[in-house]
Amino acid sequence: MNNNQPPKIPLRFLRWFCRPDLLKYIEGDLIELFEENVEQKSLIIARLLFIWEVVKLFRPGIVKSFGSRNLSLGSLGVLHVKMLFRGLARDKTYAVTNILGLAVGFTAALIIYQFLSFEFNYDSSYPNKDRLYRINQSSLRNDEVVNQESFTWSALGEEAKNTISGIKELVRVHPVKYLGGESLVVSNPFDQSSYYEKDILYVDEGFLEVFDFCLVFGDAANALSSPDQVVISREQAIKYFQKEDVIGEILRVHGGSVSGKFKVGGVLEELPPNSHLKFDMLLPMSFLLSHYGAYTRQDGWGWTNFAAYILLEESADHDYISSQLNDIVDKRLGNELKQSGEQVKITLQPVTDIHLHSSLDTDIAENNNELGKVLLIATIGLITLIIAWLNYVNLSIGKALTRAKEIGVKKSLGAFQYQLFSQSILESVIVHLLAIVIGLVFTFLLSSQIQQYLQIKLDNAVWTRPGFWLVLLLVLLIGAFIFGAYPAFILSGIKSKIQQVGLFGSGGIWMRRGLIFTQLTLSMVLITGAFLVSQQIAYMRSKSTGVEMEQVLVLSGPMSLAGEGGTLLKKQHQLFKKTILKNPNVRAISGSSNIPSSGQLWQGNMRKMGALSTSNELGDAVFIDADFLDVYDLEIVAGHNFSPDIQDYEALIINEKAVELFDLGDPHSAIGQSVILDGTDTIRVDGVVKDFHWSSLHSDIKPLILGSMTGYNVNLSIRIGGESIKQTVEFIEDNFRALYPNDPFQSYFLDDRFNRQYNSDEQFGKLVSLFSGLAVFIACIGLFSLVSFIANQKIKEIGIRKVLGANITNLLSILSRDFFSILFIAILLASLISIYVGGNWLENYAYRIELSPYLFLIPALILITITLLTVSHKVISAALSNPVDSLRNE
Amino acid sequence: MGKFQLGEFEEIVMLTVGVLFGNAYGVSIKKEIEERQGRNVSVGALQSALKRLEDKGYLTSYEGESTSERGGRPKRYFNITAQGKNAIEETRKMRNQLYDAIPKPALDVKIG
Repeated sequence: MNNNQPPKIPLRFLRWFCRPDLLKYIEGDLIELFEENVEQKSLIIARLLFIWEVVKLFRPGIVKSFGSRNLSLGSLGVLHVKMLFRGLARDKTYAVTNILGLAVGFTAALIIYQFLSFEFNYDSSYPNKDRLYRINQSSLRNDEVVNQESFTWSALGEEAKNTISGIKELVRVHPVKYLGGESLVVSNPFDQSSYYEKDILYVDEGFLEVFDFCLVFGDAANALSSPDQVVISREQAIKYFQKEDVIGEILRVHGGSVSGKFKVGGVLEELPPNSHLKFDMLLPMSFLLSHYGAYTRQDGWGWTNFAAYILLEESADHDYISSQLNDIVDKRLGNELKQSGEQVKITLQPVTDIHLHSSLDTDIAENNNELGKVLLIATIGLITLIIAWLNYVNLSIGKALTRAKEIGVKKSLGAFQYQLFSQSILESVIVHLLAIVIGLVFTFLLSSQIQQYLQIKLDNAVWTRPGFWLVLLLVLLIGAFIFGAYPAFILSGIKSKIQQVGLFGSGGIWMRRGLIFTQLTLSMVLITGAFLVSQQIAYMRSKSTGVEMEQVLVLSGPMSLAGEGGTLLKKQHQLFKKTILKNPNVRAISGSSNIPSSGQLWQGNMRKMGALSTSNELGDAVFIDADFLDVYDLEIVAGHNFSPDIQDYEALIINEKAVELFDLGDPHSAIGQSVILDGTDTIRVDGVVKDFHWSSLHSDIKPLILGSMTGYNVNLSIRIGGESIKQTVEFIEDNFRALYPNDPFQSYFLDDRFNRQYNSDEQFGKLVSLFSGLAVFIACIGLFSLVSFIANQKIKEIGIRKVLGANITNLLSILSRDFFSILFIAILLASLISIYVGGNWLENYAYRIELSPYLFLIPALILITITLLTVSHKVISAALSNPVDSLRNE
Repeated sequence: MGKFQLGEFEEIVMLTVGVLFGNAYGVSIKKEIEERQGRNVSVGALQSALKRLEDKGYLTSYEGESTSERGGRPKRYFNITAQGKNAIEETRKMRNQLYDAIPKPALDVKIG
């Protein structure tokens, strides 16, 4: 019989929840049924039925009441919560401002957290990320680094892969823009649809597997294994073929020697958004190396246009690998480098460091070295949260002082100070909890709009990570305790009603002034920052670049003729030029390898003829025809423009900086001298142009040489004029389509594109403005509460003064004196902080505004206006109040 | 009327308590209902119904003798109160009135 006991755990559960007055009967019934079931059925079934019955007993009517039945002050928990909600309901303005202020702060912090999570997780989605490195190459001259890039020789990659043990896989990546142009024309040969494609990478076979980029269709292992295959993104598949499964379809690439037909071997899944590599088409490296002229003629040690990624074996040591890489370079190029006085150093960089930590002169990743900016944004988010917290403390102190009656009653009922203290902390926790929940809701609702408005990416996966919720919980508790503690001290320290004389004298008012002061200071810093950023952008946009960019239309040059010999292309270009110049609104047209603002220029070693090879300098070169200076209105300071019948590589035009770099004396003496390019071509200098900005004003003007090249029409720049711009563009398009029927027409105005270089500054400016707006909003809540408090406190004083004959001006000054002194000191301090921080920030720009007083005066005026609007209503109504109302009571 | 409202299950419990006159306690009521109605009754549902009916004053209970059978726990016997009797009657009356009020043709439906 002993075994036939009902199961213990459900029984214990029953005893825990069941109403005590019913328990023994219910237990009796259950046991009776159990015993019967044991006899009739079996022990196991009886037990199961018992458990099931207990579960079904857990229902209202049977479950006992768990509410505290003890209403003494000893267990204040439930009472506290009740009183808190009643308190909040009674003073709705307080509840809304307090919780909303905090919620806004949390929203800001949550959005910044998502932003940071996105930025810090760049390239972290590759499964092999811990063993994946990129080769970086530095060039040194006299032990001084002159150039750093994420590109190296194709042969280094090949040799390393074959000879160094510990390298599991090495893949090379070659962006299409290093072929001289910016893009290639790709077409579907069946329906003739063709587009310019710029996000093409030439990659080695193992590329997809090393990074684990997934395919929707096709097999990653074989997708690029033969030289006539191509891998495209889903969007590209739809663009060219109007369907997704396009394995085996044919795409034709037009681009001189790299033209050819390619069979689709794979369709890519969407890339992770925080990958430093961006592409929508992959072509085989083997095809590039065997077809592109410059690469076929050398043994692979000529051009450093190849990014190389190394996947190490688990056991491999990356220091060893990099020393091996340097050994290979030494073995192959040691003598040559020694002659030119150059050193090369190869380093390995973890791929996860690329986005935030690398600051190379040339990088395959578009936005890097972002750490400083990211940290600045993090600080702004933190400041907003701190302002919100200070606001919470401020409002709670105000509230605590008005709750003297409640405290008095509780104290006279025998509440201890620690009980009141813990009540206050509990309130803080609950208010924080509400604020965080509202903040989460705001964040969910707003994050897509914010991404769009600020052009930033947010990591929406943070919600799924337990770590995030843990951090949130910690922030909640720490915030609630730290920022609940001071009001709690004030509150628990309030004397009981009888002792409460002169309570409002100093209780917390200094603290509150201090808090408002801090809030205003931080707000002012943010406003000044936003203003500074906008002024700097406006300055960069308005400063003359030395290039006439307005009304220059740029066409992507034709590619389909390039493969059939340069002569046809040249002939067609002359025809095109003649045709469109007939239109009086077309002023000039020029073909060039690059256009101002286009990033990657041809780079090479150059020196003055007659100088030692050890005095080689790394310089940028652009190839232009004789009309380039006309189109862009560049000013010649010495010498002359190219003659119209100039030959390729015959002459150079250089800028003033280049005259200095090559040590050619003054511009006039430079004319007629020669420069040696890349150790082979010797080219005469025909003219010197005044320095102009090739790219944005972030960087200084660099030495630049413009070489003559007539058939190299990767970009066609057309200066147009007159009124009817639209018709002129249409005219140009019609003629382009007629003369180059196989090329897509793609055009844009240069100034638009040039200004796009300031997008990231503008995005940053918007972000600072948005957060300074939030900060000011929260600070105003606190200010309003403080001013209301002061007005209420002084209402009798004002009444008496009025009776004695004070005028309104006097009263206004009495009421607002306090606030104005706080405001002015805050503005002063904030200006000092801004001078320091803003000065540092401006250091990033080669061309920057001076820190002048108006940069601080205007934000100060903005802040003064906003705060005046906030407080004026309260102050004026207090000053105008009828003394009878305020004095009648006593 | 509202005063005497009984739920369907409550009514069955009341009637069963009446049927078992003098021997109505948890298990016996449960079994009686299960036998007569052919449906399963959980201890939970029954006990909460009994509790409700007692709160309404339709049932009264007293503690029976403890036996060794039930692990020494006493039974709790239920009886119908006068008010409970009124409630059952009222419910029954109401149902009959409703039934009588149905026009003949409405029930003259052929099944199948």
